[in-house]
Amino acid sequence: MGNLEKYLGVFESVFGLSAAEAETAVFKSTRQWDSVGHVNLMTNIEEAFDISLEPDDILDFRSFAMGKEILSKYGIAF
Amino acid sequence: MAFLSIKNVRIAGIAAGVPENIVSNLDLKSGDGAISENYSPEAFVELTGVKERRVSEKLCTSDLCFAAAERLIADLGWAKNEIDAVIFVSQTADYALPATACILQDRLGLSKETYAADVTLGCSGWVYGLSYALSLAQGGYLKKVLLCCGDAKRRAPQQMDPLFGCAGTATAIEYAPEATGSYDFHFGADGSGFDAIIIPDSGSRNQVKPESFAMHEFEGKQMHSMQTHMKGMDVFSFGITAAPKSVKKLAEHFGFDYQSYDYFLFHQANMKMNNMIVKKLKLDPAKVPSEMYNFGNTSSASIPLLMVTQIRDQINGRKTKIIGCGFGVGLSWGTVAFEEAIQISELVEVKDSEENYGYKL
Repeated sequence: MGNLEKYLGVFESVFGLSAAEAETAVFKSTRQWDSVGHVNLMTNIEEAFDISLEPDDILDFRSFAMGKEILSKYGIAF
Repeated sequence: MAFLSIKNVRIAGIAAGVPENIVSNLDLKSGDGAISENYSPEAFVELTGVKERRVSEKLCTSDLCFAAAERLIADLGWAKNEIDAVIFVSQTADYALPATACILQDRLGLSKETYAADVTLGCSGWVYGLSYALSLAQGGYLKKVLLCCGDAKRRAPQQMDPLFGCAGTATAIEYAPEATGSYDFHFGADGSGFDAIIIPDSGSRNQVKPESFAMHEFEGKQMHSMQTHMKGMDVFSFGITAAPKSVKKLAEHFGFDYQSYDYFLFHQANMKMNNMIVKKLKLDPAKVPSEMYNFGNTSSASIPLLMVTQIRDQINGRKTKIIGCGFGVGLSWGTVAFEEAIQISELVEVKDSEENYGYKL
């Protein structure tokens, strides 16, 4: 499975979003992506990519697009 | 670097009191102010790990600590006139003033020669309080110290946040010149995050005023300014970082392998957060008990409550290597490592009845 598929899969399992919905997902605008949902998203991202996110990255991870940029710092290419 | 090692002391026993009344988060309704409309109660329970909580609208923290202390003193066979100090750690004192520790001194029937003081800390409070109590006892002047920790009834009527439960604990500390081990601590604080968990009004900075009770939206919930406001993401990123780092720093400073410890007792913040801390430290989950499902987040009571409700049978009176780590409001954190045979009392369930309420003006 490619990284993009894996990334989309996390948004689908956590928020129940289709690929098209996931690509426009934004913190607080997407249903269930509030602070409780964010904790769930971050734990699933860490598990899916076997990484340990830094605190600043967890705070900055506020949209699908921003998340891709952040993950690239961990060597995850899309 | 805030490291501390305390010798010639021991924790003799631990007890915990909770309200008898149990509420279930499954009985809440989406969008009712307690949980966001984004979640069903079932989804909230799955995400946070908190299904049930012990709550009371009348029992104060000191009432629960009092019940725990009475049980502990009886179980240990301590004479009350031998207790030299009582320290009360809470963010929900009986009154803005006087100190609740003074009230507990009298209510428990302790000597008027008792050292009594309050400490205002939340989730890191048991670890900090333990350092105070052990430090007081290590010189041998104060030989028996009671540490009372917890949080219960809030500052204003409200539907309590579904993450939080009520509990009060008592930890008995005594001077033990024959003790061979030590209690090793690491502490930290970061006041730049003072507003990550805050009750905005009711202190000196923002005094209570009629507008304090005006409802507003905060993080998807309706609340007023006398309620706890928590920035979930800030607290999450802090918790998953501060706790593992503190455990690692402590082990590195004092030169021990933390994996060799029998139990890791983390403050019970949120199941997902705690799972991540376990993962970051590569701990065996069997060594990391959890009580969130039945008690929720009980602030400074959470670590001793774990010993009473989750591992009592395994550790009661047996030498056990324990690491305790508290982290939260402040921001503040602390970790302690020790090996001790502690007498653990049975959980005290406190009835909501007049005889259990403390001093009322």
